[in-house]
Amino acid sequence: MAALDVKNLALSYDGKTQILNDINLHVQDGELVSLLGPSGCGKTTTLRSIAGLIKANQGQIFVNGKDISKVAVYKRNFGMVFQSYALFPHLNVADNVAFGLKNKHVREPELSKKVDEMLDMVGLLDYKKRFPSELSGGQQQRVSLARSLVTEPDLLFLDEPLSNLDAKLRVEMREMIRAIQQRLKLTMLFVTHDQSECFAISDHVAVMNRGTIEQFDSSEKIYHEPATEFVARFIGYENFFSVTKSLDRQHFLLKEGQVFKAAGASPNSSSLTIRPENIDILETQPDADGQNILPGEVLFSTYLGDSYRYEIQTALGTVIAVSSSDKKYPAGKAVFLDFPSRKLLGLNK
Amino acid sequence: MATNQHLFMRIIGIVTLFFLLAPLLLIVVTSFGSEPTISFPIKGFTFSWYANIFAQDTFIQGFITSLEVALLASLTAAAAALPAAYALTRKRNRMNRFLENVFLAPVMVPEVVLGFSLYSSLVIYAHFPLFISLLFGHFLICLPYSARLIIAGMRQFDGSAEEAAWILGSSRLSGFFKILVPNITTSILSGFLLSFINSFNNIPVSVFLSGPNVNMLPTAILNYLQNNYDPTVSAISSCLMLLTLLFMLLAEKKLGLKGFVS
Repeated sequence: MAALDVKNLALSYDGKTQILNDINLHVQDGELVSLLGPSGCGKTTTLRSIAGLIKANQGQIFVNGKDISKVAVYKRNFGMVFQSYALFPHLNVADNVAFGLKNKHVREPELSKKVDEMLDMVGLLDYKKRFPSELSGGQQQRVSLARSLVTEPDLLFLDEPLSNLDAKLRVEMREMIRAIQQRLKLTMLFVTHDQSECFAISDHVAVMNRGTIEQFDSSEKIYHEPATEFVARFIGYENFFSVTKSLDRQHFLLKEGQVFKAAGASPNSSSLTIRPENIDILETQPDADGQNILPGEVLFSTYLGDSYRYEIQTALGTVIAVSSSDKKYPAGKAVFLDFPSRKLLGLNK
Repeated sequence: MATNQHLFMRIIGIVTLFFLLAPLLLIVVTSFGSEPTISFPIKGFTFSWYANIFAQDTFIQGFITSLEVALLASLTAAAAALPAAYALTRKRNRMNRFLENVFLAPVMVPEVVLGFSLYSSLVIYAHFPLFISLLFGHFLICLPYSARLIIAGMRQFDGSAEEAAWILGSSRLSGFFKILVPNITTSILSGFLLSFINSFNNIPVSVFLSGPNVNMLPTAILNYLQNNYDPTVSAISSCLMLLTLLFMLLAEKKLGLKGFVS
């Protein structure tokens, strides 16, 4: 396996619309990095450019420090798992897995030995003689994984490999990929639009939007400290308050005229955000200084099992808050919302 | 009500089949008649008209020429359609849509026009040998069938399988032959069969491009019919029907009807 460096990758089909814009990535040897973003953000295009299926207009791709930008796709020694599985319909499972080895001129008995080992690892040794059309989606994806791993590629790409599977299989398959990745110390680049899938599996995450990387950080950092409003929105933050200006290092004047204290936010933040579950709903006005307290009226509630989700009308617009299901506030109820200053995050544009 | 409707549909079906098949059956029956002209009902029974087919050199020559031309034309058409279809299905843009229509165009030109224009340009103007001109005409007849079926086959095939092959170390050419071609053999073969049948049965183009030693079987039959009205024509027609039927049965068994309908 190997380390991957992508420098200033850019792509445009017509010279006007920029599909990819200055993409920079660093993937360490043995690390799993995810490209996360909504459809059309360029994550798959980025992956395909690195794999060599699309030619980028600009930029370099280094594998272990060696520039491979000009190397043909079939000489790059990569592996790829496709969303559509992309198995060869006219070959049985064993021949599908053996395909890449035969291209590398691996001969019997080594060929069969390697194929069997790999099929054993993905639990499909008994299905050797079956054809792809005789397998379920999950089994097909496991064949695809075995096929791309057996050639011992420098890098493994996974392009939304779980999207076509049902929810239970998706979790199983995800855990299997992560377990194999850690056991064999593989370097993987994983494309997904599903944030929970992404956090469960990745060491680092690159959140993409409109052809650029908005934030490239560890999973934990992305989750707790999103850098921009786009990233925050994408990973589940729902309340955003525009900042007119910062009054000092901790106090921010909001567009609506309120002043919020946000302990950790940078002074040049353009907006503040908070997760719905971090807002406290109070029935009476607390006797404290009244800072970060906002009166509101419950508009609507949704029962989520372990909690209630409320839409609350306030001077700052509709605020989404989630509280434990011990107590339910009916629609029309007047409440007070407490925004703990340490939970308010500052975001850049 | 429902059964009435059912009965009505059945009658329509039977009448339609009758009108389609009766003339063909009539030909088969008359081919065994002992009268010197084609007549129905037949008075006596004989195989001699079948024997007479082999006494006519033009039929034997025509059959061989037809076979040669149909085979060569469908083969070259398939060989030309394969890379063309690949290029056309890679990208969907205006240029490719236009080129696709160009490939399918010969079907829309009346075959008489095609035959006449080839005759006046290739034979009269450019002095091409007759057989080569005939072959070219039939190539044009075959091309749309092959192109159409192969394009459809390639569109249906998931392109990412080919990409997977590249990533697994196959060059573009090797991926094409190892992955794409084996998965569209049904389309290629159906295109070939349709081409072959159309070329073999074609008259309008063959009429213009035939001459002293170059005659296709259908034009040979037409020529024969102008001078003779004996059941030899019925006999050879029956033979052709049988041949086509066997051909279709084989195709249906090996490929299924699906390839012809798509």
